[in-house]
Amino acid sequence: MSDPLPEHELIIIGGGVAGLAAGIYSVRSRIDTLLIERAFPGGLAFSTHLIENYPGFPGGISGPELTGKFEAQGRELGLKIDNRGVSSIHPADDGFVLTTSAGALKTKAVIIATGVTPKQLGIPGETEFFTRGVSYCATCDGPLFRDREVAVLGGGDSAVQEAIYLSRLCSKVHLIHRRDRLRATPILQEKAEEKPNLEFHLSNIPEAIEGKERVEGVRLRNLKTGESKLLRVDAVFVYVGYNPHTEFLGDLIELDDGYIITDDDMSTSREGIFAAGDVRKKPLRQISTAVSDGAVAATSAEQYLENIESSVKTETDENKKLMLRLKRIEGQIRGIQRLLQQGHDCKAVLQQISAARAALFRAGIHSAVANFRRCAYDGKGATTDFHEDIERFLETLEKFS
Amino acid sequence: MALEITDVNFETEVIKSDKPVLVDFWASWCGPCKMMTPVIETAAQKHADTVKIGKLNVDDNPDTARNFGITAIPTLILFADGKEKKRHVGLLQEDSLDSFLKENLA
Repeated sequence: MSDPLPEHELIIIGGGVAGLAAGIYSVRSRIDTLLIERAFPGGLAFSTHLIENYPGFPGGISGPELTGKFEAQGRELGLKIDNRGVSSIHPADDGFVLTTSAGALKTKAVIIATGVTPKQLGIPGETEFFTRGVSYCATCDGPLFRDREVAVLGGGDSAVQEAIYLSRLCSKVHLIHRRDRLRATPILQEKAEEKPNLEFHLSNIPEAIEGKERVEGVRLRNLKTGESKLLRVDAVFVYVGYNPHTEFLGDLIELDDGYIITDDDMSTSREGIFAAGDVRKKPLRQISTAVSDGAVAATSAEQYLENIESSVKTETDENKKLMLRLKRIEGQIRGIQRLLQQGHDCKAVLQQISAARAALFRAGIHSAVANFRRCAYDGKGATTDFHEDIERFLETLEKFS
Repeated sequence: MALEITDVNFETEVIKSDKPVLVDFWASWCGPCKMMTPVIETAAQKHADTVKIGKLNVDDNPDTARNFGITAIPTLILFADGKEKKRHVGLLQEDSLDSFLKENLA
């Protein structure tokens, strides 16, 4: 016999700010929680050079510092953080089984906080020169290009924020955006415009990243003039958006364009699975909203765990009553045997058989009601449609009668 | 303890080393590098017989970092007979580092 799988009440997948916030809330609720992180805690916020819009830190705080505090607080409260990747989730008896890079794990509930990964631009040279001048994280790789010329591709908040950061390190920063104006928040645009060594290349499309061993430049096409030119840079930082990290989920829960659909309480289409942070379909992806999601998801998971625990209890009570009923029926059957042995008349025997049969039928009804969930759902999982649930229950009853 | 490799001692400790040398290029501001540190220290003890293991801070030793075109860290380079034999970019867990060494030291 193989050893039983390691088991937890709650597993949080992803150690970004949403997952860490969820972990802080759940360990404080005394839920046996395991947080799984495939790389290192901090997530996308870790790779942000300066966070100026997370309340509580006048003057801003660096991503590594803020996420380090999240992690330290979680660990201090007793949050266990495991370094491994999750490749799939399977529904199992009383919960889920997770396949991970370090063996399988069992859990009653799951919070998915896997976040997003930077989107690739998909131009020639991008994959080829990744880690050789192509980067998706200025905070991680920027200092390696001190006093050199670099390019940033994109026009959103991340692109502009990181271009500003790089302008302090690099001799020159080229910000390349396909539209004729930036999408970034005005305050960031103003800051960027003040940087003397930050040059804007609007209405320009990056066509290819070129070089021999390493990045030597990026080829741009000007949309207004149609002209193509090679801009000589040592590094290209790509900030053109993000993709949700949900491919490992298969069709386990409902997604919209890869993002997880949740209710206001962070519950997904499958009972027992919750989602939090950037991986959710939602209007604003910020540290503050990720923290909020994490707190709500942990609280919902706690309620869910409480509910399944109490339903297990009532089920046990009901089962005890059922056992008593069956014992009484056993007695009735023995009575019938005695009647036959003693040679009683046919009428009395038939009456007793009929009474026993009626008792058995009632026991069946009681058993079906007591185990409503199990019988009605028949392993198919809960639906949110009450009528459908009742119909399934009636189907079960029909099979019985 | 992993050996401290610098621009100054790189020639003697790495290029002229009799044994193969694994160099971990890192920096203090790099989160994944910090996670790499215990892995490197464990490996330095575990594989002391077969390979010399050192760490090079890219901020303090820009010449060597530039010579080897370090454009992302952590980067691990395995040197044998004074030449780069194999390079890995990014964080490695203990067992992955063990197999990296096993495959490339044969």
